[in-house]
Amino acid sequence: MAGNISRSNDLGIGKGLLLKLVTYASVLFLVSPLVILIVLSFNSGRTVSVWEGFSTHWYSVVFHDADLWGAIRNTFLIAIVSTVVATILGTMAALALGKYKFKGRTLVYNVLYIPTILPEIIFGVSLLALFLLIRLPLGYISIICAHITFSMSFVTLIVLAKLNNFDHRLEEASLDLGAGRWQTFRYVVLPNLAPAILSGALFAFTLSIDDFIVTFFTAGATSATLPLKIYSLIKFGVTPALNAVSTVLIVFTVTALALANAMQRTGGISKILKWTLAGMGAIVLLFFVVTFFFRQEKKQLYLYNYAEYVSAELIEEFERRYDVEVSVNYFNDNEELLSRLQMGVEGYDLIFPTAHMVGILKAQGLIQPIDTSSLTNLPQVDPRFRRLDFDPSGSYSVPYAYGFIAMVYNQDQIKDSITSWRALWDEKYRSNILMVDDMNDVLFTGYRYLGYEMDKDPRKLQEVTEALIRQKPLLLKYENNMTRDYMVAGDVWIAQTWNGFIQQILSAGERFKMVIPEEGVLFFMDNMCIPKNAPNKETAELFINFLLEPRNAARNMEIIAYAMPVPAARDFLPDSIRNSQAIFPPDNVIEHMTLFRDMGEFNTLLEEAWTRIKVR
Amino acid sequence: MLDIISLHKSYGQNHVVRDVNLQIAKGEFFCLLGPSGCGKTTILRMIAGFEKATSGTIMLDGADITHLPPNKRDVNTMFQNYALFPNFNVAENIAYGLKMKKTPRQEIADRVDKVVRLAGLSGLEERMPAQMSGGQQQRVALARALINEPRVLLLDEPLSALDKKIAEQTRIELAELQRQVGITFIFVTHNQTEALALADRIAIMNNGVIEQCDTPRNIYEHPRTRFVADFIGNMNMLQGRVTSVAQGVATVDLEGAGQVILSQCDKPAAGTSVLFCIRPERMKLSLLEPKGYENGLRATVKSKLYVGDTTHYQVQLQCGAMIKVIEQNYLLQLSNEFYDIGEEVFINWSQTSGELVHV
Amino acid sequence: MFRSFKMREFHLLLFPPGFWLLLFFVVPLVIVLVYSFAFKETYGGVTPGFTLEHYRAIAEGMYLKIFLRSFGYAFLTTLFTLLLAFPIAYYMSFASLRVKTIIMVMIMIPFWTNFLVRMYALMTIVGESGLINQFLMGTGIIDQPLPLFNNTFSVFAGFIYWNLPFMVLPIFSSLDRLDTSLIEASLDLGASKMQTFLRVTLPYSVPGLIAAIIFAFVPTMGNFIIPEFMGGTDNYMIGNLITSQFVQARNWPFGSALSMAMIFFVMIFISLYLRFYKPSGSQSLQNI
Repeated sequence: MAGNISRSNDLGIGKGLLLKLVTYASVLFLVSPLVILIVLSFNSGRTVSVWEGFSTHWYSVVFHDADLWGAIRNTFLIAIVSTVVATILGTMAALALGKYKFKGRTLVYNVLYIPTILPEIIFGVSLLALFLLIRLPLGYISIICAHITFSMSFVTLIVLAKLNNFDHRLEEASLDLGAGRWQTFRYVVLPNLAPAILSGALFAFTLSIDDFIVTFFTAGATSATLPLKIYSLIKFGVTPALNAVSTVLIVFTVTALALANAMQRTGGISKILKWTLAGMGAIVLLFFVVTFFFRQEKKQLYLYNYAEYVSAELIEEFERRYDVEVSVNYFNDNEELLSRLQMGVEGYDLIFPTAHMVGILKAQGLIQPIDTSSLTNLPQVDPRFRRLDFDPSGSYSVPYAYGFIAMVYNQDQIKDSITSWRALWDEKYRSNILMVDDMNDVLFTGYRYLGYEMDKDPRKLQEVTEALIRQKPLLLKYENNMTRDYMVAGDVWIAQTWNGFIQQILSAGERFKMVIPEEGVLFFMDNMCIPKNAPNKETAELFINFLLEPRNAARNMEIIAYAMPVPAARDFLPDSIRNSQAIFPPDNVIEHMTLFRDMGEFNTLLEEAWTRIKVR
Repeated sequence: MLDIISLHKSYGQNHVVRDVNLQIAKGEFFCLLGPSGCGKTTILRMIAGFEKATSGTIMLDGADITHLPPNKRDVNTMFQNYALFPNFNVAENIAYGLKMKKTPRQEIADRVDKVVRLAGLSGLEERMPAQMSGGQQQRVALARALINEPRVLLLDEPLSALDKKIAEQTRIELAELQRQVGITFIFVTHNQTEALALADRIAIMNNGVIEQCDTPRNIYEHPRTRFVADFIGNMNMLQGRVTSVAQGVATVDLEGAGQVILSQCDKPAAGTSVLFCIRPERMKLSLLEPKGYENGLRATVKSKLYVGDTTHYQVQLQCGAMIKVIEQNYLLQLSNEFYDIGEEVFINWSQTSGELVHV
Repeated sequence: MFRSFKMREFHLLLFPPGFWLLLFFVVPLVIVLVYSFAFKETYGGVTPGFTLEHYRAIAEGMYLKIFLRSFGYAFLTTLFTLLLAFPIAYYMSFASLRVKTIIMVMIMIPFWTNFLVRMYALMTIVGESGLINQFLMGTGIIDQPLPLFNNTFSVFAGFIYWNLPFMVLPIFSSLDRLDTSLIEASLDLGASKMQTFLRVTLPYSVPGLIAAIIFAFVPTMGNFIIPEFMGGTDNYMIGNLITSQFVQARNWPFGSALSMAMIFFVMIFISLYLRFYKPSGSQSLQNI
């Protein structure tokens, strides 16, 4: 906090104009984004950064978002538990180091100090490795253990600093007045350490609430914290609700700061503050009790899916009809899905892997058979999509939706007529091209650009890798979820993306045109699977059946803009969708479609190539 | 009452306290005086039990307390910085010792009340230490120690943190208080004025040993060692040799400065080397030969310093040695005798003034 | 000096936290070390064994380049941030109490605000359709959006924005402790203002500077969010590479080897830190 003595002087030191300018410009740079964010949170419009009028609409959206409340509850639960444990352990370490001299003290010191400056990512991956090895399922316990580990050292350092500055004559005075050592510790040392312990605890609490990186590696399906949710919102589709969430967080921070400042100024915890803190504690406790109580009543369903790949309205209807609370977490691609499941992330009830991944998941024992007899709507599924080679018995997966990767461009910005993947290598469009952030789709495009089939020839792969590396300077970035925003805003001219996104972009204006490249497109088919140890298998099956209901499938297709293999649903579709070539491509396209197959051992090489491309 | 026998303390090769023997009587106000680092605080801390004696014994009322922990000794300390517990208010600080002894609640309240009044802290019971002045904190520290009615109260530089005026005031109160409570006080200070004013007896320490232990008057008037002579007050010291001793009067030949005689001293044998010591205020300057004084030496005024009540003269003897003489200004005014720099003068003093210290 | 009484029983207190650190800090690092020599399985997972293949791969130019890039980004970020942070801290330490308090509040709010929220806030400003471009295009100063986003510029903007408050505070607390009479003495003894700054003020701020540099440099090297959200195709950093090995490519051994290499890199800074901060390592923390 600010020093108490003003050193304002007449010497002209620290008074230069340039100094002043730099300072105020920097402060403006620091604060203005937050202020603007707060202002924008009251924007009524759907776009994030264009002002359309005052409204508190997004706050009510946030307020009614059960997922978000769940994340807040998780965040506080984890922070409270880890703070308590970290404070106790950290204080113990400080007392041992400060009150007892022993050999190897320096070593302990160092082991304690290092965590305060080690990059968080190292914590993340090493703890992940440990949890996987000891088969601790990722969830609350793993996050709490991780948070305790990185915040404990900070508590120790803060308490130890106070202990080292402690006036030892106070201890002598106490002994002198007839107190024993333990009485001295109890009545003199501990009360005087209390402020340091408290600020250590506050520090630990803040670290825990704010942590993203370590939590990113150690979280499970049901234990997502607020920072994870915010990350997910930024990554998988920004909505103005994010502005409101952020504002709430900023206000929370400012309040906490003001409180801490008031505490510091009164030189301790005054009675009013004590009551305030106690009141806040009570509210938090009440919040937990209430939410816990309500949660117990409802059935849960945890989905792990691509972003915006199931209609939110449909989910709400399912929740209402069956009295279930549905939560959705997003993955970026099949590789992440597989990684997370392999890491021991448990708690998901339903996942949406692509065809080749179903085979891998099955072989790895990560999914379990579905009780198909309970799926009354299963006959609605086009039989051509059932019992394919990745799941011959058809018992591990139910087809969800299919589509392909193609291109879309803005005719206002590109006057040429584009027909080939080669357009993505065109110098003229430098920095105005987007590619998806998906290994298989990008590599496929590279193969087709060179006129190759995707086979297991390392030399071809080498050529493809080089072609894609050559292409990189032309790209703005690899992007999966924000492509629509980039295209509609005119920030990029041409994008490689999936047909669902293309459909959304096309509906945003006449200027957009879809290209189905003459070299052919990569077909994908996503499926619904139930992970092993899914806690709510029956609810998951209920949900599968719900989605396959033709009327529901139609409503879903309208939103996600991908085709579901439910022929009866077509009758319920509006014409704009039913006739969309982006959703239901013409037959000549289907003839050119390629389905990505699991490449077995060759996968390792593909992954290395992909890493290599990303790295360059 | 408190007996310290052959007390010794060393840190490795560093001997801080060497073979100290002291006997302190009940109700005595005893002072340990010495420059910083002389070992006086270490003795105090060994009596309190904060430090372990390397060898030797500390007896309290006949019981050996050398190895008892601080909380088992019937001895309390008033710390230099007072060491008030910042987390307790005045009343809680004072009650601490009684509380630790599990004294009944009502008794604690009564005794705290009494001590608070005695220390003049009425109305401040609820204050926190940080909200009090230095003088008030000092009283709390005193009250906190006294309430336990220790057999010995140790005071570590209790007045050094106070302003001069407040320290003087407190000094008087402290002496008064000690008489009232009748507890043995052992007081450590580097301030000789404090020591001389307060103590019944003073032990002067240097380099871990006690140089002299006596009443303030004897310490001042009859220093036994060169260190004590030099340390207490102002002192002129001249090397010399006893030439003869006759009828209780010794004649001392000061090297090159002439002969002086003195009575009332330990009669050293003729021929011994001694240090002749005399306080500046015991000497008079005059322009004429000494009349009514047994001793007189020629000197030249080298500097003078007017300090209000007195004037300090630096005069040089013919042998070159510098002597300090302090004249009362009112006496100078009466006789209208002021001396200027460069003036030739006589330094005169009676044979009853001066002291011989063995070298 | 006498160091009060010791609580010998207190060494027992070391066991719970010591055990915790052993289990959740030391052992995990050992596991990562062991993994870094093991073999990868096709679909993820680790086959025990011993190979230096992953380290050899790192030593290859391509991955080394990522390390150097991360190092360069961290170095430049630290430098740029320092160029802003020092003047702020300096200005604050000589400002009137009121101004000082106001600036302090302006620093503390971003300091404690969630990292992701801050990054998101910055994105709304510098983003391709962010407010700066909207403003410039709206007022007709430019007709094409400036390339402010998804490139190296925005990555640095993000890093500087992130680190600035963390750097100001330790420097400020160092400077704030500087006794003004030292500056006055220096001026009084004939030193110019510049000489005074170089010989009195700057040396005094060294502890704060070192803390600031380490607290900016190390986390910047390990960050993977800013390159992901604010970077383009050629801002991939070591953090992204490690994350992708664990979360996508499932090449745990390679990811482990990368982690070990990163620890080695950072160790240099940690040893520096320990050298300077052993006795009162939380100095900079206390002022937070």
